[in-house]
Amino acid sequence: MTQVSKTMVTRPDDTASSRPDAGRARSGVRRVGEAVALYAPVLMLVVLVIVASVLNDRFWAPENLRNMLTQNSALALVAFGMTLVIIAGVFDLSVGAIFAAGSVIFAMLSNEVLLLPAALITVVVGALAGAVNAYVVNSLRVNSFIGTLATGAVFSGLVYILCDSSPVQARREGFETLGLGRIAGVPCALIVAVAAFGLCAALLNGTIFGRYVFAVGGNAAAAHLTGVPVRAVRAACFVLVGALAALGGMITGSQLGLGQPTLGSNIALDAFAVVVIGGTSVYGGRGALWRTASAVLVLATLTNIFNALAWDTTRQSVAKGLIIIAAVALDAARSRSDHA
Amino acid sequence: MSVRLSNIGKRYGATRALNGVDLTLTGGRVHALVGENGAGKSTCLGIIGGRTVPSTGEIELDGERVTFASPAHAASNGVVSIYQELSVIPSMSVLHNVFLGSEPRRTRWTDDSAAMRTAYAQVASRIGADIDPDVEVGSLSVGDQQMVEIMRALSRRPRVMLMDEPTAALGPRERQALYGVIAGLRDEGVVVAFVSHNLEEVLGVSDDISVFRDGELCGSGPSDQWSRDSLMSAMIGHPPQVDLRGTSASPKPRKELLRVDGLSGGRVEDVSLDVRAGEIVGIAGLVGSGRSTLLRLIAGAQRPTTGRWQLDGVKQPWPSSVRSARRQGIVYLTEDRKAQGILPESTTAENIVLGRLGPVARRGIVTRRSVRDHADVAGRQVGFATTRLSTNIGALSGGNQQKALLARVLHAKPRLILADEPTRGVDVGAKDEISRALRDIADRGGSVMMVSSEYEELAENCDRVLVMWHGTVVAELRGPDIGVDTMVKLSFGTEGLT
Ligand SMILES: Nc1ncnc2c1ncn2[C@@H]1O[C@H](COP(=O)(O)OP(=O)(O)OP(=O)(O)O)[C@@H](O)[C@H]1O
Ligand SMILES: [Mg+2]
Repeated sequence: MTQVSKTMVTRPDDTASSRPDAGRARSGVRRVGEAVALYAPVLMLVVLVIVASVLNDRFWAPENLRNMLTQNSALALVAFGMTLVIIAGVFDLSVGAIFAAGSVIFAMLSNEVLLLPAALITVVVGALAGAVNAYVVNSLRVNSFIGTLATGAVFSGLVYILCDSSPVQARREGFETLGLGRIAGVPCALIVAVAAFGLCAALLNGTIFGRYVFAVGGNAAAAHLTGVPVRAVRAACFVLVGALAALGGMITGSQLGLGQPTLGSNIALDAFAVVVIGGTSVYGGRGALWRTASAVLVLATLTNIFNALAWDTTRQSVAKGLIIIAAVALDAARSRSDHA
Repeated sequence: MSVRLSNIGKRYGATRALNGVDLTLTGGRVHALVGENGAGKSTCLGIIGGRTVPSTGEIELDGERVTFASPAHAASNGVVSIYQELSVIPSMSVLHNVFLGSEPRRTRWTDDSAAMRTAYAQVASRIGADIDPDVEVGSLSVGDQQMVEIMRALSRRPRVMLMDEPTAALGPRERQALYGVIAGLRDEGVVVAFVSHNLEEVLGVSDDISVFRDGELCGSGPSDQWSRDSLMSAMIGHPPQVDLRGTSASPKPRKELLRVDGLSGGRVEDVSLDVRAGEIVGIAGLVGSGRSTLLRLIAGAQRPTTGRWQLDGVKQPWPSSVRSARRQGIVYLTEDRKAQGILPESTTAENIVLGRLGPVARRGIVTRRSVRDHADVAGRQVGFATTRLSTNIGALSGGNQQKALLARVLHAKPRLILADEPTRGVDVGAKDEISRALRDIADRGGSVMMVSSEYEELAENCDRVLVMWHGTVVAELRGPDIGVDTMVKLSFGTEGLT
């Protein structure tokens, strides 16, 4: 402290000297590794499709493909919504209950009013359920994992009360169109899923809202300090996934011809699996919708293979669980290397 | 343009962070806020910037009373902040970080990416930053992340610019550029307030200086009426004691502790060095020159691609983790205390003893009392106020968190400390205490390697300084050769002597 220097303010501004790497291009090996991680779901899909073609000589039959896609459309809807929620750094475990609610409410309403209003009201109910989740997480400051687990239990209970714990037979003609109908040979369910994909992808990648979703998941405190409306962004994600889950439930209900309160017990786990296999980080802030979409196809093909091998659902469940663990471990390894 | 605070106060439970502050900030003048750690500077800026809600008092902007509900609300009124702790989104690109929350819009829903890039080029050239707008912010050095934060604030066209220790993470060149920007803002009539612990900087840059002590404003006036000494006395409440520490005697040749050969990894390319027992080795260099990477490699926090390791003259494999380096007595202090240092929900005492619980536990049981006692011993060495040990560390001011982390390092009884910016954000008095603590360790045969952007600090503390440039060590200075100007020149690579 003896030498009082003024160098801090009199240093020459040497802008001529070359500047050390600000964000130097990564080494080739690392880039290849990253590309593999980025396209992992697509690579997986290619491999599985080859396997499936070998095991199942009817794999490429239009009927088989159509079935595969129709059966997984509902899952895709939930997974797309879930992708946004997880990128925003929160979870929604109540989607299963909202899914079941979608099927039950749609069936009940369609017995009373025309299909279109019934469908619209059901989607709005799903969105409202999402708004309840948003309230619990934002305003009551409950951790989203616990909060949506609890709201899920509430929603599920309400659905059982609503339908008196028994399936609701749908009587209106055309009820099954949404799930099983076709327009110009293309399944309606698939059309809905593709439209939802388009909507979510446009939101996530094309809008400022989408940027905010990434920001909130990347670092909520920093996002708040920067002026991002953190709560509103999260709320929008919850509402969106709620609406999509209800729509998914409607599709599955329509395929079964009834409203089923037990539906959707696996949908949260499956959607979660798909999102994670798609490489969306469970830590928030990173992810992409097209990779979730590829992962839906991965899961669809996998199920197809299991069926070709004549595996029962119990074995399928074990296999799926293991695959999820592998995908999450991969994610953890990747984010560890980020911190290294 | 002006900002007027009257009777501003803030309480956190029993803590009075700020009390009855009356202060006017005027456009066209640069106002510096100084004070010891925990004096209330950040709280004051936080209240103006909408981050913190005051318990008492009111704020007027151009004579009109305002209450800001959030930082966003303040920003929409032209009040823009740069926070003491980094508040960037690591997983997003530089470009999107800079314009987050204020993106140029094409429609209500979409942004105008061409306009964004043009604006980025402008703001980057204004501050002389050469950062690729498309890389992820998380891959940048802390200094460059700070530059991103400054660009973000500038791009919002502030009428009031509040900067909390903006230079603490910057290298000499970036600092210089920031001073230029501050002068530019002043000439535009912007209200500029900034916090710094570097009193030379404060005296050189500001037009007015306000001194905070224990949450109160205890002096305010034009800079030319202040001197370093009068600032110090105002800050600590009594005249500063004369520093009795003699300049360290020329280092006696001591035993080699660690020798590293051909070390490469990350930004570091082929570095060889040795550290002797009882020696303080400084590392100088610009932001991005590989200083931090070098420490992280040695600390086991990052894997080298090549490198030979010799401890106490014995060849050994490179430590594979921070843990294995610690087992050999090598302890690392991170430069990013918020993300990698503190456990915000634990008490300060717990934070300090973490990492070496062995001696704290009695028959395997860790009592609150023994935690406190051990933390107290370590805390004293760095001038940490004993009374704050049971506070959650997250509620401490930035500088006090830094002291606690240093205490944690000392508690680990290391043979070699690898300290990255050990005194960043620490007040002048504590800086001396930390210097003394490091010297103590060296006198007792321990060793220190420290990175610092404040070359005065290196000059005062180090027996030897290695200057890095582009990932290599370009010069080694000893004893009397260690001069601030020499280090600056060498850092720019203009005199590559090797
Ligand atoms: N969130 C909080 N909860 C409780 N106490 C707090 C909180 N934030 C700040 N404080 C207390 O308020 C006082 C003032 O803190 P502040 O951060 O304003 O200090 P500072 O002058 O900026 O110090 P530094 O130089 O270390 O950054 C400190 O005693 C601190 O412990
Ligand atoms: Mg502060």
